Amino acid sequence: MMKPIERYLLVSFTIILLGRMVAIPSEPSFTEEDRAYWAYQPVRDPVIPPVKQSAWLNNPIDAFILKKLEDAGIQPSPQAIRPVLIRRVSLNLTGLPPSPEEIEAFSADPDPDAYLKLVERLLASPRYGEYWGRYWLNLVRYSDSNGFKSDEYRPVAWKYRDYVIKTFNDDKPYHQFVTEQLAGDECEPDNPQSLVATGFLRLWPYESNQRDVDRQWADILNELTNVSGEVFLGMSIGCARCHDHKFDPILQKDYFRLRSFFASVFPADDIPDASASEKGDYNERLDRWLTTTRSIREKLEEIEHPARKKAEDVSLLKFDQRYQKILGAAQETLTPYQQQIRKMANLQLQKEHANVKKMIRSEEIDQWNELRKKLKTYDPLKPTRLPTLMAVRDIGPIAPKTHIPGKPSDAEIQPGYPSILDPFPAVIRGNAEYENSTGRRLTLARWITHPDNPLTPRVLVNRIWHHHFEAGLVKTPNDFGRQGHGPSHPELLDWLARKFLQGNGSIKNLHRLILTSAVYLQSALNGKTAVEPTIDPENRLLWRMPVRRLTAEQIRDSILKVSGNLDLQMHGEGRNYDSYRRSVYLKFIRNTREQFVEAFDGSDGFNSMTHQTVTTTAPQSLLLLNGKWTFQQSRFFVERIDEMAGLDSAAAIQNAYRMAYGRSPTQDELQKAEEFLKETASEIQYEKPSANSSQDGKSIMGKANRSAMIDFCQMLLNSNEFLYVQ
Amino acid sequence: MIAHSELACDRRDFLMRAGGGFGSMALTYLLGRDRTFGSTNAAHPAGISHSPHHSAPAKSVIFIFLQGGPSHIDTFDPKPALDKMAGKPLPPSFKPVITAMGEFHSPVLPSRRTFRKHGQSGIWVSDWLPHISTIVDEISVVRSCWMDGLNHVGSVCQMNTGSVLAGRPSIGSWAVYGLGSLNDNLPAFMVILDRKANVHGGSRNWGSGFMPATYQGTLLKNGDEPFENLNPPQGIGDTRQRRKLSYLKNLNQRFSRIHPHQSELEARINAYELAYRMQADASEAVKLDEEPPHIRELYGMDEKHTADMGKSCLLARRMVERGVRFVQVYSGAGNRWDAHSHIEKNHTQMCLESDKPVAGLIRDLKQRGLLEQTLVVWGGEFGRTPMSEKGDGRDHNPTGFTMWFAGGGVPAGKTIGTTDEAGLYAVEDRTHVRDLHATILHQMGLNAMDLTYRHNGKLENPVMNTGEPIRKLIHS
Repeated sequence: MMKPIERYLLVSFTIILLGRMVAIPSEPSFTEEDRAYWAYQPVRDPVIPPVKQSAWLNNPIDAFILKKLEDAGIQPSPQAIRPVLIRRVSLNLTGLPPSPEEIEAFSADPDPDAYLKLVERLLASPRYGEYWGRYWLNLVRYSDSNGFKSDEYRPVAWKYRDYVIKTFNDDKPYHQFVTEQLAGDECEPDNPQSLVATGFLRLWPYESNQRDVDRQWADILNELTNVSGEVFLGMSIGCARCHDHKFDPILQKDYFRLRSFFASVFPADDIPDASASEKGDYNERLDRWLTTTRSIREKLEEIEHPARKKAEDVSLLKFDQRYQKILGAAQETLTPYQQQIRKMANLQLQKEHANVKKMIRSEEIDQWNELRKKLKTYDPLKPTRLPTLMAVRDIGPIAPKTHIPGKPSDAEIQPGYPSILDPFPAVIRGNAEYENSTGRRLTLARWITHPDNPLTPRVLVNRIWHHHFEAGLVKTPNDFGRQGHGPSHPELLDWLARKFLQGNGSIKNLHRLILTSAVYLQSALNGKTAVEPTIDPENRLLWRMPVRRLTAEQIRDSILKVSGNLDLQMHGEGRNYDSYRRSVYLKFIRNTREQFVEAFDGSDGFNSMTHQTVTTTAPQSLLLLNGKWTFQQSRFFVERIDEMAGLDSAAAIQNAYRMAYGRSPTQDELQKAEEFLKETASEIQYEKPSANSSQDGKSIMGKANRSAMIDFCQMLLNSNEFLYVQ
Repeated sequence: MIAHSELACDRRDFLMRAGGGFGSMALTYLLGRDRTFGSTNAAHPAGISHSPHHSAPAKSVIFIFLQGGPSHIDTFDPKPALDKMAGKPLPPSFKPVITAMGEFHSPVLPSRRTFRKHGQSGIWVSDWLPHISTIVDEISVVRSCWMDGLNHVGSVCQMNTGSVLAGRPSIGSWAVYGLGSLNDNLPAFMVILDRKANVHGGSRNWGSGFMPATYQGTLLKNGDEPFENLNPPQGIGDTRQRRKLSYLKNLNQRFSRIHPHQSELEARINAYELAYRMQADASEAVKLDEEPPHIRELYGMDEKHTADMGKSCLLARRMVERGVRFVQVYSGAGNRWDAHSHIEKNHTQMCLESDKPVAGLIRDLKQRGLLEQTLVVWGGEFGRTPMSEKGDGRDHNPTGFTMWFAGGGVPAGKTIGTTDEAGLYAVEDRTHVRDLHATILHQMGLNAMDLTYRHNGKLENPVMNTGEPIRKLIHS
């Protein structure tokens, strides 16, 4: 049976209109050049170009790349050797370096399909979703905290993180992924997983004591509009909020057309994360408890009601009179917009409920305590609270009106797409079986995921390409506009986009294509085919594999893997920074980020991060060199080697090299390492003669030798060969 | 032609990023070389300037940030009219304003401070700041500041980045981006906290936002180890550390030889050398016991109440002396100026803690001839309301408040701008935070509008196209 989401998408394809499918009414602001801009043209079906060195080709990707190289007179680089290849592809797919055993097995595998098998194994590994999930989470500025003064923790935000990891591991079709995030609640209002997906619409920073609620709400809607434009459409739509975009044909009106798709959302935090039968069971038990305890609770309520009111008043009085009026009004007398504002303000009042006890009149406190005690005796009857999730719902079937600030308020802006693509108001078609929602976001999701949308597939394939080659075919993944960079290989971009659509939006298929191309298999060394970097020093034509620094998360996870401490348990609530779980499972607290994320260009949780901007800073060096954590991990690393190497220092060095670099040391390296160990150990002994006294026969490592070995291993973890992937 | 300049851009952009976080020698060298390539800034899409737009007196900035919001109407902006309004709500002629705690209708609380004109300039200062009163002829007061925030995080963020929403580069980052560093071995942008508490909002306030982390501020914590990870793990002496580093260099050089075109790898080798030099230089820079007793006394370091802030201010001077571009000194980090109640008690304490050290800093800079080249800025994220809160406190007032400037080429002794008779709204010469930022950058030789960085298809500048230097302050 077709999944509901699939059904909605299919139905929509027949009715949707994309601008270029009909005659575009003349929009005076657009020039011919605007309309002809490459990113707005339909995805073409490019001819695979003929090349001279056809023996080099693995798949059509290579033809597009090689054509440009041949035209420029550049030779591609030879294929990388297997140990390099497995480290590269493992880090690119799973974010973790391979173990020495994996490297050796792959290097010795006589099967001509050894590499294909490797790619398949890595794509099937749960580590894949963890690594690519993190990529997506950075893109959508995921965080576990509100990001303001008290930076409150978001106790169930992690469910969205887990949803993203599962999405990548299950290779959920991209159109489904997009639709669930934008409108999971409208498609399947009762499916907790679809609701969790709308956590995407909850990632905005939230200030829990902001008394200017109108502005707060406007900021939230702007945030949602900006990030959706960037993430799904590669459009820097934010520029058009205050005026028509200066460089791209995006009108100010378009900004608010897009924003009005989101105008009716509202945070939903009370939805149980449970199946229908769990809910039924819960409600049944709850009813029983409610009936049994009615009289106690009624008496309690008599005391608590005024106290609660008093607690709320403390907060209420902090609001402007206009908000006080809205907060005091009956829900049905309010416009949809006022209802949203009221709910937002109400969140602040509800916080005060924690202070109810303080507000109970002293003469009643004994009775209150007594009643509470009595009520507690019925706890065995009471069902455990169902877990909840972080989602959105629409405020109701009627959307609040959208206006352009500063323009006459009767000029309501209807939802619509960027006019250059489709100047008409959007035809809103929601889920007919779910009437309590406007259907606006589902309509938007349909348009974004429509196979004729020229931006969506190009933007997505460019992201994947970007993450594999450190540079996209379009270098600015969140900006396909004129101020970004045009594509280096426009035909390849379209060819990939088309393949992606044909493959039903499978991202794993896209990986397969890219990773098995000869382009990807190239060595990072240019070796004999040395090209003067004056021709293409930037390597835009991809005549070699770029050497890339690991991401913040890759560095931390790789160190943990090498030290033997990496805890591969999956999913669940975020852990504290001292945990040995993978970085994706650490809490992401906006105001106090994890030290590697902070130092090594990780996400800030506020900006959509398309790729890491690699900086090379002294604080990074200090963290790896002097940081307590790195030093500790180096000790664990040595313990592992110690167990394996037994009495042989050369074997210890060999093992350290294999684990950190995935290769054996050369004779020269071995010798240098032994010299280093000897010198360091003798110096330590000279400084502290007692250091070697605790030698036990089992290990060659007395304390001095062990300290020297820690230094050595730590320097391996500091070195570029460890921190970079070739 | 275009291809060439784009290329230059990417190369230069790379060099910026590879600079070591603290402008490095390699960076300056390579940049110098870049000029001989004949590429000009004009053709440069990312707009990286790394040289001033105009000649300017200020080489460095010390921004003294009184976090929590000091009351302007109890310090530099006397409002005798409040005495007549005392105990009643503001007259209806005042336009209502949303405040953080909803105090617009609360009774007016007149200041209990005594104001006097001081120095030759006759600048009004209250008796809460007896030391600053003695240096008023070095400063110019701007009484008409305003901003968009309401609460602390947004407001502190705007005072630092120009926006109440997180994610933009801080003003210090822009300055470093525009001018680079004067010292290869120290961070170009430092943030000094007076206590262990953090600033509300944390690192967004000194972060580089969408710009590379190279330009972010480095936090100097108040404690035994002011720089994070500056010292080797316990038990690792200097010889051992050097041996480790020399071995690491060996490993890295081998890798670089294999990848000769990857200059980023060289940059990392430099970053380790810089880290090592920093160990020495930064440790030296924070050695306050080198200072003679009379200097320590000048900053109030020998007195209990002023010791912390005195230490911070003296550190700031030592950093500026060593060529650090932008130093931020927090007084009351963690909202300690936030006097929603008991303003008398709170501000008496906070003024006591900061008054002498700040005055000492101005005096010390002056006697060393550093004041001319160091712009000192004093202020909080907002002021406080004339309306009372909880009887004896004041709410946040972002619509009108005072900041002052000293040194760095700004004229001294001026009082610029006014608030209304209650001190609620800025009225004359209204100065938005972004104007303050434009002023700071202007004194450093940078036109805020022309200092651009491309992000997401937009040429961003520090003032979001809307800030102008305070005319009355820059044209004496």
